[in-house]
Amino acid sequence: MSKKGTRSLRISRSSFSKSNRCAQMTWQPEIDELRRREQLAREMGGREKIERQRAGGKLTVRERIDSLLDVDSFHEIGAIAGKGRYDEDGRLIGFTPANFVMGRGRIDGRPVVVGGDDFTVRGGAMDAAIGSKQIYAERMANELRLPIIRLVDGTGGGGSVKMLETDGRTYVPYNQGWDLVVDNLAKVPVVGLGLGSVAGLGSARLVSTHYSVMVREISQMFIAGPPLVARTGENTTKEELGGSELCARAGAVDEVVDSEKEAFARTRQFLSYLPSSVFDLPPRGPITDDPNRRDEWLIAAIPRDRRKVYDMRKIVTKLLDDDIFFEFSRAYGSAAITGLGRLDGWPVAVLASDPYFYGGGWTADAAIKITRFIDLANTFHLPVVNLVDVPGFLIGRQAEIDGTIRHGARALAALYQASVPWCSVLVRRAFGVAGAAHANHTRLMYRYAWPSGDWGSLPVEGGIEAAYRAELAAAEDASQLRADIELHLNRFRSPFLTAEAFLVEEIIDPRDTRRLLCEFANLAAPLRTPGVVATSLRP
Amino acid sequence: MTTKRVRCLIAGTVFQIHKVPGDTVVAKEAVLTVECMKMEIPIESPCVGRLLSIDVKEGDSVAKDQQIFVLEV
Repeated sequence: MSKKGTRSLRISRSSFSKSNRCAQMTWQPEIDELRRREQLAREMGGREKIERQRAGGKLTVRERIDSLLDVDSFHEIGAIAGKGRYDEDGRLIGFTPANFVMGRGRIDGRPVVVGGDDFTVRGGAMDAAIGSKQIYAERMANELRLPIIRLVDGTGGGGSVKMLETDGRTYVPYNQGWDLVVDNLAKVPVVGLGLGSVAGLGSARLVSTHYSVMVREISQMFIAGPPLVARTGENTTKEELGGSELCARAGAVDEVVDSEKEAFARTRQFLSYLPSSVFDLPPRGPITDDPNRRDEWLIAAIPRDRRKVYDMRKIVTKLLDDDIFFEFSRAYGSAAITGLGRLDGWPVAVLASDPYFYGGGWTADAAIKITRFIDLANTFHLPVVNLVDVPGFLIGRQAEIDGTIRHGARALAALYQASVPWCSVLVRRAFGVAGAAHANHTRLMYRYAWPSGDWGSLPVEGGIEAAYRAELAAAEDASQLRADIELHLNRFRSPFLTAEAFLVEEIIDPRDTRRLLCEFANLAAPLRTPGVVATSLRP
Repeated sequence: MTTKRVRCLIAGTVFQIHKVPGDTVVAKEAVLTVECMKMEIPIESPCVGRLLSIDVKEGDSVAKDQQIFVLEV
């Protein structure tokens, strides 16, 4: 109430008109008034604005919440917060709700917190009195230890220059609730859905998450939108500046989907693999697949010709329960594949190499992606399965320009700081520093190698010039000598010689991989330790 | 009918070109192979279409995000 304290509030006459003897003895008039205010809040920004929202192909915030949550599970908090308008007698004559709707609800029966911007009221700017509601939602997730889903549509509570006029002053900016936004990343699953044009603080809220999704065409994300950017001389459309594909390829968000419905379905699936908070453990799903299942084609999955690629996603998918692999961040750092799945019902984090992208070599962006992924797995106690085919870091001038080694070293740090159970399967190559980063070698090497295993400091083909420079320089026929050396060295390349020296623990039949990974998941389950980890995720 | 410009998502050297302009391709069919990290990496068509042009030749260096062929879809 904007006029609180200056005059007393009068309950509307219409509420009293229904009164009877009973009502005079009870608080029914106030409850009637409450319902009236709640009804006004449900009208959001009014019919015209709602129609405009729909015309833009977007659901309203209330439709979004209903669609995301289990049926009839939404318990709204702060529904009647907003700006009331009163007549001279203090009667409520109009009401504009706050442009942020939030509360608790359930997803697959598990409680969550949800909060969404109401673009029909105002595009998210702070002058619509939402700040404290956002902070409340973050604190509720934090203290009740519940996942939080942010439905972002607008600037998410950032400022507007209109405030200069309304406030008659300006202010030093601060990022409201950011202590909680950051702390929540260490404690509860946080999902951000971009469901409109998102800018400024809204963008920061969307990406300060464990999993972020944008909806194609209806969602764009940028630090500042086209009008501001135009002032710098760059004329762009919203799609050109911050279209969903651009944001996904930049690694700013994890995923792009075609509809809001799909965004909600993906959110529900993502959360199904995670505990409600780090103080709990990832819940085992139903056991619906045979842990001993063998797929015959796995024995031929890796081409014998080392120069040929293969479909790692097909391998990953077949190893998991019911062939379900929840992959995300696919468009970014694509040499690494990251996602979640189940083994004998247990949720696991799966890291794998994609030979289609630089042969699986670590680029700067792949390393950044791997760092975030390891931190995610470690934060939520998800055992990691790593399917390795890493020829090393990407090399060349561009790789140096990209600072690949810095980002790679950061991924190494994440690996060596992680304490979550870890199992590596060397399906093909493991070379150099990046190849060595398939596991923390100081822990129990829970590791298998396929017969296609190929490893070393650097591959024979690439290392001969450096190692035999003097000999090659002195040779009459350097190319013949080079071929002879290569032939000679390749004799030592057999994984059996490594296993003979127990430098790789076990070579397995690829068809046994699922059985062994299910055994790992079962052994790892009681080792998972709830609590806050020292190195939780940074966005 | 629209044209779709396909970009190479990796940097490398064009190793082999398997198609010529005018050819029809299906989704995931290799149009050319790029060599990088000692691997032969097929660059596939994202969808069904007819090749209008192939904008590189064997032996060319390609940069990440460089346009490599155009499809009519």
